[in-house]
Amino acid sequence: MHAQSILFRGRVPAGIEECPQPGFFVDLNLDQVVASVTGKDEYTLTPFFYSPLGDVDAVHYRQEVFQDLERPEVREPVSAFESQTLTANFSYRTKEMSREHHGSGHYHRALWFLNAVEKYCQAVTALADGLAQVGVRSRGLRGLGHYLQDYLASAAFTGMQAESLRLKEAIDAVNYCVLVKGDRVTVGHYDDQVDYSEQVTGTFERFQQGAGSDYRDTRPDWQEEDFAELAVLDLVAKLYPELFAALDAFCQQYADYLDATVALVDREFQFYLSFLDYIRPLRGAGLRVSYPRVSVESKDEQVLDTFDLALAAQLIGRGGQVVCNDITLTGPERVLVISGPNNGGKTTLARAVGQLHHFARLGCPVPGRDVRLFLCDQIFTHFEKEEDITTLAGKLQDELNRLHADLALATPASLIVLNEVFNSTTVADAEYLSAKILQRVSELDALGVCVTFLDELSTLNQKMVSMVSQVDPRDPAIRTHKVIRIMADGRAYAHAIADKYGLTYERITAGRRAGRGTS
Amino acid sequence: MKALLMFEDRDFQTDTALLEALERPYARREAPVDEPPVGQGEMIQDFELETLWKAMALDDPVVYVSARTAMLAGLGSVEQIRYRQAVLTDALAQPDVVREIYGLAVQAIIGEREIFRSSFALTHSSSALLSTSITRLEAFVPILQRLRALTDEHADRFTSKGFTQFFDALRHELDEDYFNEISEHLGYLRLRDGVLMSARLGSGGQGIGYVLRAPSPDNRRFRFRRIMLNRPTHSYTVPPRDYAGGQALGRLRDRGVNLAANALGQSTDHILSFFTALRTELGFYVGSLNLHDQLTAKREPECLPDPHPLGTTVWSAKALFDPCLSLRLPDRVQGNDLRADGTPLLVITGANQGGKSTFLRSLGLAQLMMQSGMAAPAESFAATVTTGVFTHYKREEDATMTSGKFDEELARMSTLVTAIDPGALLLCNESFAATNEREASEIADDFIHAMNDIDVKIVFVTHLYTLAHHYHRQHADTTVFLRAERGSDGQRPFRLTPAAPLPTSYGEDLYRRTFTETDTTHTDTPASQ
Repeated sequence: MHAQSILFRGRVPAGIEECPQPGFFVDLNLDQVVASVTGKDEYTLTPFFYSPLGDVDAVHYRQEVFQDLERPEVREPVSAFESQTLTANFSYRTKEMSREHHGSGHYHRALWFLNAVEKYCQAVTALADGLAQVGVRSRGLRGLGHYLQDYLASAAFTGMQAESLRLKEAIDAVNYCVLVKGDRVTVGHYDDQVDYSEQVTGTFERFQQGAGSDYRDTRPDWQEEDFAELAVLDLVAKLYPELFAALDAFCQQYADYLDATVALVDREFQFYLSFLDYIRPLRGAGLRVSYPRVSVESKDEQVLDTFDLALAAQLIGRGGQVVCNDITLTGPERVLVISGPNNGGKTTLARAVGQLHHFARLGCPVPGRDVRLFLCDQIFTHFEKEEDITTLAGKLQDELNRLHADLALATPASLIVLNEVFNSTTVADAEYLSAKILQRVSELDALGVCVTFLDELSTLNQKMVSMVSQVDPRDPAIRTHKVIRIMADGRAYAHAIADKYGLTYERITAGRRAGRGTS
Repeated sequence: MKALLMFEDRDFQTDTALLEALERPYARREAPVDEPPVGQGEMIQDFELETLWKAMALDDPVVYVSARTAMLAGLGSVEQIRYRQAVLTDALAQPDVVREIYGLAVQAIIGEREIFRSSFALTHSSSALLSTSITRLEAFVPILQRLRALTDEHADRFTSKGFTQFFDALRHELDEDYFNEISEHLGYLRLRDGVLMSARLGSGGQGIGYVLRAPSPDNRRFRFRRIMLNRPTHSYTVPPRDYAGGQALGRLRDRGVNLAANALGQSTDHILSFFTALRTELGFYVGSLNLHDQLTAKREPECLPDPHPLGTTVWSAKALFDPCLSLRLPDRVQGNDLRADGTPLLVITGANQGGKSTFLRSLGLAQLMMQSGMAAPAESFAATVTTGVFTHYKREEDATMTSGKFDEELARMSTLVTAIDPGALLLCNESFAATNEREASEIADDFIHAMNDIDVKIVFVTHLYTLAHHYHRQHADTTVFLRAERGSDGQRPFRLTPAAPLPTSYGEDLYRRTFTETDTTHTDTPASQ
């Protein structure tokens, strides 16, 4: 029987750990997003973010788990479980015990092992109880719940738990005295000797005014190493020989206490929880993140109030304002042609579209609301890179080579994101090449995004949708970063920006005339 | 064991941050967090309270802080005032004993600080801490013994409840057995028999919950016992060359030493807190003695005021003078009489530099001094206690430049009003004068009415003849009118007499006199006609 997964229906696909980072990750800033989501990535979650799901039901399987985990009553027991870092504890403790030889520090390690088992039993029990109580709805968590119920009822588990509790109780009851005199430390039973600190303070209490300062010992916790150095625990063990023999037996019997499914879901929960943690501040700032309806048939797409995840996370961290945009594709429409002033949010929107499609394929919630997305099979991106002028010709060739290769691989189910690909060539070249490439994308019937300064591309054919980044009508120099569906008109903003910097015809000539008048 | 010389039932809390700032003015520290109560800063300035506090303190910051605190946090009940007045009476009768006890408290605290300072820089080891604590405790013992001796010698001459109970407590708590107990602790705490602790096992088997133990329940004899632990015991001896083991042993021992040092540190802190409280409370009376010495040396009168509970309207004084003015002048100053029982409003009119402000100040100061339990600067003074004293003086400039002078005045008044409770006393010095007389009079009239209706007593110094005249016609039964008089020779005696407001002021002649006598400009403005 294989371990129960909550990321995949059935068995975890082989080879998934070796999945490399897809080519479009850097262009879409997905590397930043995934790095923020996974953080230090103790659980090696990154490969999961590299591997898209192929069919609608697999996406639903994860969406269900996500939606379960968004319910606070489900999230609570799961968070409590994952915060115990059971897998890491297990590997640490077993490694420590395997290196072990009876000798200095032996009983310290044994006690830590006992604690780890106790914590493990508590965490697994609490998770199983939690899942059963709240009534999970997803197939993934329901399956896990059933598995855990069986596991908790097994003799192996109940025996281990009972023995660990018995030992722990006995250890907690140990009470001893230690005498330090000269170079000698002596341990004996505690026989109700009086608390001398209390006696001293009692004598002087009569002088106390008001609350008085707190004189409790604020030094850091006792260092185990010192304790081991002096073999104090060994001396205490001699006072309680049976108890410590039982502890030794326990450690041997349960050396391999971690269950395979528990280990697996401990990691898989991280995929869900880290992503939910990532989007929480975004939602807190009023942004919408929701579950897309995905389809492999209809290319009618809609996303309202969407945004670039990487940028939004940055902006909200700094207390900035995130601008949201709407996208729709209906009927024959396949390609978003985005034009308008620079720094107006064009590239950001292009990235956002790419991110939407990738996270939809991972079964994750995506930025925006009322989301309907096509489940694409591949994503290709072509972003203009800063380049040295001397290699310009070579670069254009490379770019075309890459485009050619990608278009050969692309299918009607692919998404192609082109960001100012031919900007560094002449306008005539850019116009010609862009039109050609877009024509090919249209013929393929693939989905596309094309960021360009060439207005005329937006009317190339009926598959094109024109979107233009907007400026503030009261001060055209202010970009709103809003990109809306509108006919492209490249000149509307130019005059306004020139005016702001005193570069319009009227203002330049007015200055001259005045100059002539005074001279 | 508490001093309880300021309150019968609670400690006297002063502003420790302020004392710290005065004692170590150059030390870097955080800005004060607490905003002072509304209007307090203005009142201190208007009454020249700093002059009074400095006279009381004679450069002793503790006395300064105690006097300041007591005067700013006036007592609300007649019984509390009487309690302090009785203690003050004892202090005035036995000034030397009171000053010596105060001196002992100061000595204890200063000696403490010396020990701390000399030991602090050396090390933070537990042994050093323990030895410092032992030294601290040893330094306190003779002072406590002297305190006990003073009690035996002089206690019977004190009659106030405060001092009687204080001396009773000393007699009861500081007996011979007690001093023996202290010396036994000082013996055992040198830990010559080793350090004994109890502990339990922490989650990793390390020791937790260390408690310092003494070997026998019979703590009076444990010093002579050899056996610290009952059998069976198991021992480990650190080998001579085991450096790490020696270090670990040292740290284990240190833990016990630290527990002992903590217990002793806490104990010496208790003693220190006792002396600190004693110094703070006696500081107020020492300040009163200081002030008494200075004023009686000038043959100024002084009396124990007669407080009356809230709800009454008692307000009378004989030869009431301004102690701050007196402290600054070589001669005695002119006192004024007041008979305003049953009247919630006092309207003062008359000549500039005729003593109006001085009188206003003496009235406010007498009220504050009475409610702090001090003697009053008068031959007699009787008044209802107030729930607070507030001042509203005309300001020369708008410091913030954000609003007009009249706006500023009204804004200041409006914040005061939010802080004023029924039963308060409000002293107004030419309030509302920054606009024309008619407007000002109407606003002031409304304001005074409102204050009267919420039971706030007002003293109103004003040039607003329209206002004063209106009150004289309409409310003569509930208002006392005082007027600053011009002397027959044009010289101004600082004396106010009950008299109806006159339609003119004397600014004009002041102006003329100033300009004929000296040829420089004078700041005083001519009064409105």
